[in-house]
Amino acid sequence: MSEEMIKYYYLCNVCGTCRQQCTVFRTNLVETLSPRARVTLAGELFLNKMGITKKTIEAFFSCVLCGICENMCPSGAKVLETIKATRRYIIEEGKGPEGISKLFDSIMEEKNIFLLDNEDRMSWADDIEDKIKDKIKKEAEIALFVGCQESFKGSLYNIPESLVLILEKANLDFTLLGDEEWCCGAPYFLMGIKNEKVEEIMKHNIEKMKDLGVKQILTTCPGCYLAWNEEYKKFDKELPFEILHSTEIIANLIKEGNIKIEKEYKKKVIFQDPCDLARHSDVFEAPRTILKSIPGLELITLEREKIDAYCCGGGGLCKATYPEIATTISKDVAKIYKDSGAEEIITACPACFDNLIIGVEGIEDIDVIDIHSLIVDLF
Amino acid sequence: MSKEEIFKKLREICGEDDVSVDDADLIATGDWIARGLEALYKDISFKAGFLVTPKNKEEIVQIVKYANANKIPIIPRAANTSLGGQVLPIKENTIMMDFGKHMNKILEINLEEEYIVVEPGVEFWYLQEVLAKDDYFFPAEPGSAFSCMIGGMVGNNASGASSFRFGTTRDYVRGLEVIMADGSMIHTGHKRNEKSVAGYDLTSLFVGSEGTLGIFTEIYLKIQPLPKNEVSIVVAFKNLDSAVKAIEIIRKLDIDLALLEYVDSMTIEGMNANLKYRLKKGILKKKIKVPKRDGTLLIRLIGPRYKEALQKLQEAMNNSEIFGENLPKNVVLEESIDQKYLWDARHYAGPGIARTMEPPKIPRMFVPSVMDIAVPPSKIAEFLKQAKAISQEFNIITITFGHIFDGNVHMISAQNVTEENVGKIKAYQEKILEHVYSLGGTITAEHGVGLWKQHFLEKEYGKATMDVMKKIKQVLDPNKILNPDKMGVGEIPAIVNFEGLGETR
Repeated sequence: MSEEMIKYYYLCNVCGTCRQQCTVFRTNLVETLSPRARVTLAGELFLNKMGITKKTIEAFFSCVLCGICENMCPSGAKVLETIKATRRYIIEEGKGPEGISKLFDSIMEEKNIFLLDNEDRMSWADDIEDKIKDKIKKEAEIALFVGCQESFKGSLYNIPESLVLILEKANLDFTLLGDEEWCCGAPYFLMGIKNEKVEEIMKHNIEKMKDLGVKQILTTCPGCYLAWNEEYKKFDKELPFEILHSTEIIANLIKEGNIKIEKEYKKKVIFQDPCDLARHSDVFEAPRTILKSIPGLELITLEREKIDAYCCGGGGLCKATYPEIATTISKDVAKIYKDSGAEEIITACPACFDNLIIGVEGIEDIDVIDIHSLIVDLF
Repeated sequence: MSKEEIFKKLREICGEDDVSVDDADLIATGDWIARGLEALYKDISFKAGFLVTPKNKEEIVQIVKYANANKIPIIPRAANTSLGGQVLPIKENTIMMDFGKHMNKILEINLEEEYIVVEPGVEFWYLQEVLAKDDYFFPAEPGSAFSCMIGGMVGNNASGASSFRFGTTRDYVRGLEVIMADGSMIHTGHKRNEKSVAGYDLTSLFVGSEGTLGIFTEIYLKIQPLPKNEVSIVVAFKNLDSAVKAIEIIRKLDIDLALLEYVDSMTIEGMNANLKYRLKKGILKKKIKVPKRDGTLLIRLIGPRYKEALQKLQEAMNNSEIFGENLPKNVVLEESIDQKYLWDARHYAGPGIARTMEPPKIPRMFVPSVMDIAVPPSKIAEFLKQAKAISQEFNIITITFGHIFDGNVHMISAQNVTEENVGKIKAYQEKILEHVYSLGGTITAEHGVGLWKQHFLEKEYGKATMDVMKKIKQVLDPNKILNPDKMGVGEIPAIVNFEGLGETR
């Protein structure tokens, strides 16, 4: 049990402002699943006023960790810190959801979240084998950190594949860790866990990058980006890499004239700001720079965007434990976007893409397109 | 009745998904004021016996009939944003009846006759968003506008910063559908008629009854066209005297005021902390900073003549013949988004103070009985000065802000929880209230009596008046099942006055 659980208990005045935009609470209006309830329950657990119950587990593990509550909170409570500390406590007490322990076992055994053979990490690149075969584990200043989802999930292969084509178009050399890429460790961080097992993972990934003389690490996954940019930097204060999300490097390439999108794309689109990128990392202009450079494209702006944007529901490992909540969120968000007049939702995150694809099912005339794939289609 | 029997029956009525005895559901909402008391009284826990989320009025009728027959307490709850401990369970096996999950629909909007019908769990901010699409609004806005629900607003006769101009919730309730303690259903008032003096005004009796007399299932509200054109201005005088003098001048100006708020320098710190945070996060596009001065007024002007009114106001406030060298600093905000963030910061001012300090490691004891007083507006300056002196005498840091135009100010006073500080708080609140009553004031202008303030009511009204209130409660709820022992009409729990501190109840 950690004191982080009670840190904001006496600060929160239960005003409920956090409920107005809480991604999970809005789907079901159940008080127990609201941020103020989570702060309360964490404090009550710490004070031994209650035990871990079924609903306690749901309260903490259903959170998508989008962080919108922290934007709303007038008192400045760091709700995510409280939630992560309490998740850790529940797991340590042996009462964490089954899906989470399986995830950890998978990472430990196979170094990825899918319990698949890590030697198959390059499956995503089967269609562009000729373009990457000389890149794997070769020295280069730029490294692509692909991430588990895009490495193993067929529906997401086109994301790293497109990034490779974009880098090739810009004549940028890069390297890949191949089967030496291990899960970034994000699932542990989302559970507030920073133990020797996670340290081993971080150490491994850092060493492999160093061995290849890498100076910049590129990710298309905002979850991996946040892990590297925050946790790895905390772990190794002298981390010798610049961490970039793929949209940042592409936006720079466009600004510098190294790549240009000339084909017209007459669509009304909305950009789904990934929480880990926008709200948690303040990266929101780069994807907009890219989209604004596309001739004919109309970018719809909503009152809630950038750090205030709607969450797709795909984060925080909610989907691993309470998939029905993640689905409801994505459907609600897809409807808001459809009502705004958008024909397409552009994503820059595998989790957003994956969850919003479910969200738009049954809604006519709205698609989900990954930003990297869109760029490649317009070359 | 055993807990198991009650649980079984409630599930028969509402189904498995809408009745819970899981501790997380029973504790979830919590209460920040109660946290201090829970630390003092080691053996108490404000926890309901059951959380019930009824889907419709038929289920409510069945629950109430069952509870009445078996004398089981029920607390009707909306958003749990009340500040008087109104929905804190203090009786064994209390059924907490929550309306937010299911009973949250706007049932009817009639623009022609300017009324709406809503269920109790409709959120205020959501209702305003819906009405704004037709250029209408529900004008009784409380400080908890971001989270409160209409059922709670009616139950507490909620009001706020704009009430001096637009009135309180009661002024907009045309009628109610109420389930009585015996499970019968009545209708009060007339949803389609603005005027009616037919019989006793039962609507007014139920509004502000804090769940002690009946359970609302439908609420008929009057709505109004949304005022257009507005400007906000911060008028920051160096001291309170000048601000009070300014208010007297403003009263006589022929201008359409929508808001007029007094904020002290600590409140301004809280406001600026939130404005700064929002600017840093990019939510706020332009820097807004309220000058940190002790005589600061926040004003909003509305109506077609708002520009003329602004000029008139500025001329009056910058008149050196009246204010001498003590002229105010002014900040004028014309963009509606800037105005929104200024007023949001005012709403958040109390909790905003927390942003300026480290999170407290030990519980704090707040003083609810001084949090919401009102005195006649002509006495406000006298009150504020004396209150400041009393706070200094007791060495209790107090944040003060409020609706100075109608004499209602909020004083947030907190102390770390220790038995030693309890004595200090008791003496402090008694001295402040003595001062309030000597000026002809009231212990609560907005927040309500609830649990915490009931022991002061007899002092405010006298025994005869309280006896009438108790008789009303006795007639309408003879088995004392509806939010029992609250509002001064039941038995007042000892903990309210810190009695028996340290002992098991």
